[in-house]
Amino acid sequence: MIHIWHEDSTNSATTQFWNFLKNSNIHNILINADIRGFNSNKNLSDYISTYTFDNNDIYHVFIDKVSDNQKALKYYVDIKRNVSVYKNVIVHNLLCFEYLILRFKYFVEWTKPTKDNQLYNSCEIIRKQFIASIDNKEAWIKKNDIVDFIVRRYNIDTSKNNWQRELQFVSSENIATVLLNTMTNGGTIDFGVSKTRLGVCWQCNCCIKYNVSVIGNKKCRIYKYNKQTLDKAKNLWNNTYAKNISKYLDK
Amino acid sequence: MLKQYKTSGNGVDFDLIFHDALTIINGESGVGKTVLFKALENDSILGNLDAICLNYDDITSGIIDITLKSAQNKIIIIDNADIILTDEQRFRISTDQDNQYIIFAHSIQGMHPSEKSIAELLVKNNKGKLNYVLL
Repeated sequence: MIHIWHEDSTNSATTQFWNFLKNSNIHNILINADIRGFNSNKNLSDYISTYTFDNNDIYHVFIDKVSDNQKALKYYVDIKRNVSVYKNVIVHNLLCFEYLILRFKYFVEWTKPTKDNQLYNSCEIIRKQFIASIDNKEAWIKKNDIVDFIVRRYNIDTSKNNWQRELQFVSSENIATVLLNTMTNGGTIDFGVSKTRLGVCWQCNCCIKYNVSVIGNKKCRIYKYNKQTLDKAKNLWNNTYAKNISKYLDK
Repeated sequence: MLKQYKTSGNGVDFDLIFHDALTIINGESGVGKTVLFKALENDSILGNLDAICLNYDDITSGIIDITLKSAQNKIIIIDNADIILTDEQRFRISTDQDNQYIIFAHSIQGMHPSEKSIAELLVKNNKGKLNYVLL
């Protein structure tokens, strides 16, 4: 049996994502998987610190690996230390769930609005730069375009003395969240992803007819792909970080 | 960029590897961070290491600000950064593309380190090295 434990809430988009893959029966490894959200990185860290791991199971731990957030960093390092003696406990190398979605190979193909959208297009430039900086383990703060984006997004007045102080509290996870929200929540598109919502378009059959909704009056923008639920699950499994768990075969 | 440096102090041989232009060194109290800073400072004074070392004694002189604003292609080593750096100075360090920083600090706040920047000092059997916890 495998366990997929993450720091987000029990009804989070993260839980919905993993449950969607599990319920789509796309890989044997996910059958009977124990998918559990712990509601915070502290809860997850505390639980793991006293947990007795079963040698017959494999544990996949998803805790945000955020190098520029002191608190998150502490919990990540604590968990890594606590499980270092267990070969069957894998602490995954992932910034956060939002990054997993942003990094999805077909993210733009699926979520791009059909009409030209200046906001989406400008975010797409930032998304590419951000992914490059995370993948190359570089600090986003050195990318002027990303800094400009954050300054605009948080309406930071750079003419003020000490405006940099406001940037202190922006971490790479915040940027992933802001980018994903901005790129998926605009307009009528229902690929919206928030902390507690994985939009229905990620998980349902595409509209068969143009502008016919998958759940009522929402317009699905990838109608032209006419993807069915199972196609979507396979795409998400094969083209996101999720598939990495299959490297560690269940016993 | 300085990628490796060897030095010694108080009977400990340090073999330091750097992966980024910003390295923030943490470590448990008493592990030898102050010893390492002193060793680097001594090497700098002796001319063995081309670096500017800043610590608590430099707060009032204004040298920290002057250094951060004017240094080019330098290695800047800062002890007790939690106490001596202002928010503005932290931001300057995090965005500086011209210099290399080796910073002793418990907190990363305001310096936006990458995964390659975060190191802890480990000393065992009088051998000291940097362990990169996120790599």
